[in-house]
Amino acid sequence: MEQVLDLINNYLGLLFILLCLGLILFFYFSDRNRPKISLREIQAFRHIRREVDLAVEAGKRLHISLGRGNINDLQGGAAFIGLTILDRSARAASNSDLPPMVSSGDGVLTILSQDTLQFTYHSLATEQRYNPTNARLTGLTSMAYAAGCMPIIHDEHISANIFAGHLGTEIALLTEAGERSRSLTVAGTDSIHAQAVLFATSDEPLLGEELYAAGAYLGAGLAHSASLRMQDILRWVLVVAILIGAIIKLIGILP
Amino acid sequence: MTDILCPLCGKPNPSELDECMYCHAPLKASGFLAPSDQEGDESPFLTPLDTSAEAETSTVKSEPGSPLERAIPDWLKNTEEKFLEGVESKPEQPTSEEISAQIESLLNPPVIPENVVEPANDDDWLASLLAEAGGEPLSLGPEEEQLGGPAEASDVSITEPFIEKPSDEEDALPTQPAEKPDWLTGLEAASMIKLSGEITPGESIYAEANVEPEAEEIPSPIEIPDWIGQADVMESSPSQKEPEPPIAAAELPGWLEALRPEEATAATEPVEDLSAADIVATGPLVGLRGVISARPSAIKARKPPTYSIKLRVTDEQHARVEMMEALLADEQKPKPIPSQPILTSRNIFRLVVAAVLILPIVWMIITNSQRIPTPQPGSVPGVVDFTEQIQSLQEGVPVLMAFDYEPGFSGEMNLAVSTLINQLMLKNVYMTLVTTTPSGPALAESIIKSVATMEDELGSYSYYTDLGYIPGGTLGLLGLANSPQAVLPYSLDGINVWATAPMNSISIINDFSAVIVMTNDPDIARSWIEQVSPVLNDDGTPLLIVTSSQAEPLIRPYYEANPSQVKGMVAGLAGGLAYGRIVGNIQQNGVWDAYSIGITASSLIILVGSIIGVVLKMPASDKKKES
Amino acid sequence: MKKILPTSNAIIAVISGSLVLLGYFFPGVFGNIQSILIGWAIILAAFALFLGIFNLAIVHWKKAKTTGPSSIYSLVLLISLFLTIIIVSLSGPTGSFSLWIFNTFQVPVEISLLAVLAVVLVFSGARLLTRRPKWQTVLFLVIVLVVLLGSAPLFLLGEVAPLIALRGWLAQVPAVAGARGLLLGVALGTVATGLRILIGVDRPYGG
Repeated sequence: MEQVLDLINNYLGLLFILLCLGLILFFYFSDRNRPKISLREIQAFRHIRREVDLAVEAGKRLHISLGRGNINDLQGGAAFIGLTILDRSARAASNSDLPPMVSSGDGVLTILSQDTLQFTYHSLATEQRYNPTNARLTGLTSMAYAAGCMPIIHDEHISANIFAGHLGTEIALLTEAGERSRSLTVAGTDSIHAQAVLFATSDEPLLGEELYAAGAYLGAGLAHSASLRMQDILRWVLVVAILIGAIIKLIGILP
Repeated sequence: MTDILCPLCGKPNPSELDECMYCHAPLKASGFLAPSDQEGDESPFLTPLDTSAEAETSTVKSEPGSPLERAIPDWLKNTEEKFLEGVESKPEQPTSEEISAQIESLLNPPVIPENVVEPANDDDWLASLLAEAGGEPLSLGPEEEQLGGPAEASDVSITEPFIEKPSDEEDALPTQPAEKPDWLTGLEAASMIKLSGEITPGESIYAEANVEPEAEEIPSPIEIPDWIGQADVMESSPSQKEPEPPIAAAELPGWLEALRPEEATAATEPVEDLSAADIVATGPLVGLRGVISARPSAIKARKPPTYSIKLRVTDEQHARVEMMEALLADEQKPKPIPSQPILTSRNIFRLVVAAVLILPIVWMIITNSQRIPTPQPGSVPGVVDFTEQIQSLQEGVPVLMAFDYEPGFSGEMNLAVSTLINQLMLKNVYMTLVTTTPSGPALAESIIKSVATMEDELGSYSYYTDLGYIPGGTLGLLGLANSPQAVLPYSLDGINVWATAPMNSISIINDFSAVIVMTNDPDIARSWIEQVSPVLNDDGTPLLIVTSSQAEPLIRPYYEANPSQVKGMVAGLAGGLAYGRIVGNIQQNGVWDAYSIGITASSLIILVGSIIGVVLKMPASDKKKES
Repeated sequence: MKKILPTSNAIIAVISGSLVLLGYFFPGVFGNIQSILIGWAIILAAFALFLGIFNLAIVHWKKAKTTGPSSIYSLVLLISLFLTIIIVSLSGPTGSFSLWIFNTFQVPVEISLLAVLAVVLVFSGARLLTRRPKWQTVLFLVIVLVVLLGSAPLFLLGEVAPLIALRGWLAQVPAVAGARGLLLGVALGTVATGLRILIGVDRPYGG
């Protein structure tokens, strides 16, 4: 029994990952021939789409901040979502007078954001719009990162700020800067503390795992919709598993 | 010097010019003269021959480039030249009797011979034309003669609508054929064609008017085309021949008869008296009366007048137009963004909040207030276990210390960290410093040196090593846990500390006596716990956490778990003070009182601000709903 | 070439990620290759940090050359950067001059920013009910007040035991429960994001 439990304990993670992969692939191939799945309304993404259009019309630019998460850490997932949002926003705002400005607090994220911008403009045949200085490293610590982002918000004709990545409580300084410069702020982070701050300071906060649904809501591809459906299913599986485990523990079956 | 009026624009031009100097229309080809030339009521028909000759020669010698000159065929020019040569030799002026006779002949219709059947009333116009054509045409001035020439007679016959029906008086006129002028005789003589049955030359209308043709010299014979000579013969023959028998009335076809109007109205007399009308001297209508004068005085062919297209705008309309133009111009101008005033209600509120928060805190620190009792160690979870774990460390053992908190959190964390370092220094523990944040090495060095200088008996503590920054985040921690020497082979000073004691006994992370993680970020704490504690728990190496109060709720479950992954924790300012209280290292400096008053002030600000906002906004929202 | 490079990037990413993942579950088989790849990733991360600083310098160099209100700050940043590099290179990362720069400039500035953050949070809390007049906001503010008042003895009032107990319960039961739920959702999202990259559908590396 213990060996079985050890085996399960050792390979439970792998089984879980394989289950996730299978669901993603299943939904990816099955949704190809289906009409677009309807998603519940998340106001933040609607505002992102609207702000992109407004920025293009007004001749201003977007500010997309990817946070300071290291892709080698758990925060890497939020950082990759930020890169997805960057890609979609850059495509939507490709005909804007001013290209979007990208800030990050990690060296790897800076390089990846430059690469994303370059690839986006290359796919739109507008390579001449790419400027490597539009993606910049603002600081290595949390306060330095916030201090480096605030001048961008004030001085670069920003119409809307999109914060997507790993950001801490320093995001309050950035949302305050956005409010002073009369620009909309849409923010999502994987940090629990920062989400509490965002609820109080941001115009449109993305709470919980709403940030990870950005790809599906912004039309990043069928894989994003498939993974979103996988998350919904597994969330319920986890809820049921926790409840069952709590009940079993309460009953006394488990020690 | 007489001026010539331009037939197109009506402006006077010098007579020597061939083209108008204003509109470049030909002047002399049309043969129109300025009204000043006609002041003596002299018709151009009656101009002196010498002047006319001069004009003719000048006209003949005119520039070949004028358009009207170019339009005149060469044969006609030759005819004119020959005629003018003959005329120049003996210019004679017509006598007054001849002039009056000519005028009379023009006024009175030709007398129809008795043997001539009068045409029907309906054909009177045709008969009159034919009669006219049989008469001698009027003598023309030299200008008109150049252009008119042989064609004038036919033109006269065709374009003479106002020839009256011969009256009784006219019938009484002798029917002798009028004598033809010499020039016409000359033309006829030069003609090679003699038609049979043709009208004998010499018959002309002058025969009816008893006007003897001028005894003019017959001009030198000119070679003229046959048809012109034939026409002359035909025209002149009626004047020289005996009165011909009247032309039999033509038998009109039935359809033409049907077209005849029922009421045949007799030819009316001219509406106006043409006796005083000018006689056309030049051009194709030479010899006719009552022709609409082509003179500039009658028909001024000039440039059409330009009418102003300027609208008649009133002042009010003008003002509205200006307003519209200003509106449109403003649309193109970028409107400058109004500068925000510095002192707004929001900024004032911010300043008030900052003042209410900062001033009491500063006051407490300045006065070193110690009114608020420090927290009890038992009341702060994790402090006691933490203290026990530190106290259980033996002297000289290596301890891994991770300085993973931000410099900004130094104010909260330094109290607990400095107490901890102090305790470790007193135990002479070998501190091995690592960090996963770029500012960690400097932070670690800074606090160790500051603690060392605070404790005079320690002096400069050097029983530690700083291995520096671990890149790669979680991956780096995993590598550190499995093989710290591979991840951090040298210290910041470049020394291979793994070769010397006590580090030479370290191969994996659980060889350390304790792992103490100091961080304000719960995610970093979780990374250390999840990556390192599975390796540590095997040999009981404790994992101790020093964290901030914001991360304490997330770290505490790891501490309270069974089996716990965190053996002890010190969280926030309260934990630091409690830990200091246990070890007897109380350094408050008014911090706890300042923290207390800050908490109180913050709570009050939030509460009052929320109430005020609700109270102020509710009436505004009600007004909105009402509106 | 344009099509080969993205494909090769995707292949490298997929294979590397798969090997590292398998190394967690089968350390005996893939442990070595996992360690090598992790070592390479750590080295690349260090160089990426250097490249990020270089990018920062270029950005502010361009800003300093332009005439504007913020060009002077870029100039100050560049001067500070180069001076710090020179001093730390000569003095060492833990030398006295280096620590002087750290203790004199970086620590006070970051502490000041944190103090400003505290003021900003209090100000936002005071205006929150005005901005979002919902019942969730009221609940949020009530919990904030309870946690604040239970964190430390109140000035002139001392410790309020019920508040402290309530604060302890709130911090350990609902807050942690909610945090765990959020973290589970975040973990699911992270797993999904990672799997999209592992199967090559999502290519943040510009492929």
